[in-house]
Amino acid sequence: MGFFWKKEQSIIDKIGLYLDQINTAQDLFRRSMEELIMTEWDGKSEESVELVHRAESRADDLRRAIELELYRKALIPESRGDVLGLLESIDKIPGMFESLCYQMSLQKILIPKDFRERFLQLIDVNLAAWELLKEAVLGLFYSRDVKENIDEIDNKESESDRVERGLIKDIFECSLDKADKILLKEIVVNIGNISDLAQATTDRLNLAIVKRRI
Amino acid sequence: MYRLLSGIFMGWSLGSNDSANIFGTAVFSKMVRYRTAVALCAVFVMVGALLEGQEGMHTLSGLVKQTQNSAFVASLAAALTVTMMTLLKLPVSTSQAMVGAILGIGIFSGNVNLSGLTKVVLSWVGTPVGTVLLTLLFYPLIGKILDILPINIFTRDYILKFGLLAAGSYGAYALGANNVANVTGVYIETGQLNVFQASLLGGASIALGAVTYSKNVMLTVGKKLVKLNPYSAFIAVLSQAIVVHFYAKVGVPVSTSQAIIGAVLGIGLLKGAQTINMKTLVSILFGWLGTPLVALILSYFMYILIFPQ
Repeated sequence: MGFFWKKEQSIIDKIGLYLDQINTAQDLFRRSMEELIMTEWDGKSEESVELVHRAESRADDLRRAIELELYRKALIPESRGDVLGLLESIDKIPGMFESLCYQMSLQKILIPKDFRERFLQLIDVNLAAWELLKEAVLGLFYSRDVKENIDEIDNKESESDRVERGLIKDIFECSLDKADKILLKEIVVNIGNISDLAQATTDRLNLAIVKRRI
Repeated sequence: MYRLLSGIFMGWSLGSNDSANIFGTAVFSKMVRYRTAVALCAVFVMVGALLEGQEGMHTLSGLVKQTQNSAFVASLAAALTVTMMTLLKLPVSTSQAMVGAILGIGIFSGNVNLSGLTKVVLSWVGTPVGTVLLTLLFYPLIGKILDILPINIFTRDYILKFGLLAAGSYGAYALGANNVANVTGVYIETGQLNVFQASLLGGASIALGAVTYSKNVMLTVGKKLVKLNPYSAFIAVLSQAIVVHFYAKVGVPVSTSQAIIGAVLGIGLLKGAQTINMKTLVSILFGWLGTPLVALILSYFMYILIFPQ
């Protein structure tokens, strides 16, 4: 029996590695964003941004390898489409990590001291949504019930929306220059996009599960 | 010996058409490779014909007393009916063409076994009705089992793929067992072939049709049925195989096309979707009435023309 499942197990293992690689990108993103948010711009954060970029590229490579393997030898077309769609959707999350770091470093954005903690709080809520998504995706391949994870991702997305709205409101009420306010708002919205992407991926995942229930 | 050629022609045409009803969906949706489907089809048609093809032969040879000449004409008329209707893109059933052709000879010679004919006609109606009922039973039952099993997406795919291959192979077996009588059944009564020879030659000619000329029909039928997801396709093919096999046991050659139409209708009823339109129902009615009538007229006049008394 194990022999027949060998190639499928190899793909499941690769998907696990891909998700771990996104976790690595997530850790580096968290560290890099903390540096960029908490310190004045001094150019030293470029190295950590570069690390996020490299982690994102490695995740991309892994995803492409899985896609090729899926096309070559596994799954019936209907399921292949579901898994490929899921991978494409997940892939936008490390892409968002990378683009946020570049946005902060290239635009040399300075976060006012009063907002720093709340920016980090927003990041943590959004990264929690990603962690839950990772578990839910693995559930599809390890036959685990993921309903709780799916509900929890929805909660995190709502929490992120609340923090996001509060931050934008306060940013536009403070004494900063209008252009700076707009730049900060963009960062807030993009951080919030992480949980939006997690929820969009969850919707796909949910559909794939429901479709298979007869 | 040349009289057997019309039977081989009939078998070839049956194999090229009917193997599509069994593996069409699986091949079109790329769940099963064409080569695999055709190889399985050829092998299991032969096995079915050899192991269980005899019953249908007794029924068909019992319908009308045949001579070597009349058997040749009946086969040729049925094969021509199938070919002609296929070219005209009209729905056609080999079993119904063969029965019509045999009846044409029977009317000409004035001997028709009416009780045998009643059994045949009842089975025609029973075929789509049977597959509707089986689909209504299997779809929720097997679905429940699949839902309960703690399996991931890959394992589920394996089960469905294996299920389609197994149900398809069983369908091919049932096709061989049920339809071989259409191909060479008429030659038994005349003494040209014994039962084993008739099963072997009939099975081989159906297999030949599947191997040499089934690809296009498979893709066309698959396209028509492609709205079925893999699970529904599996249930449809399984129900069809069981019903066709049942009628092989009863000894009446039936239409695999009408069997699969019944299964698709059953799935439509369960899902509340319109899977069968009026056109399809008309095609079944035409299969029951039009096809045997065309074959009957053709065999009657061909017999008069080829072998004038």
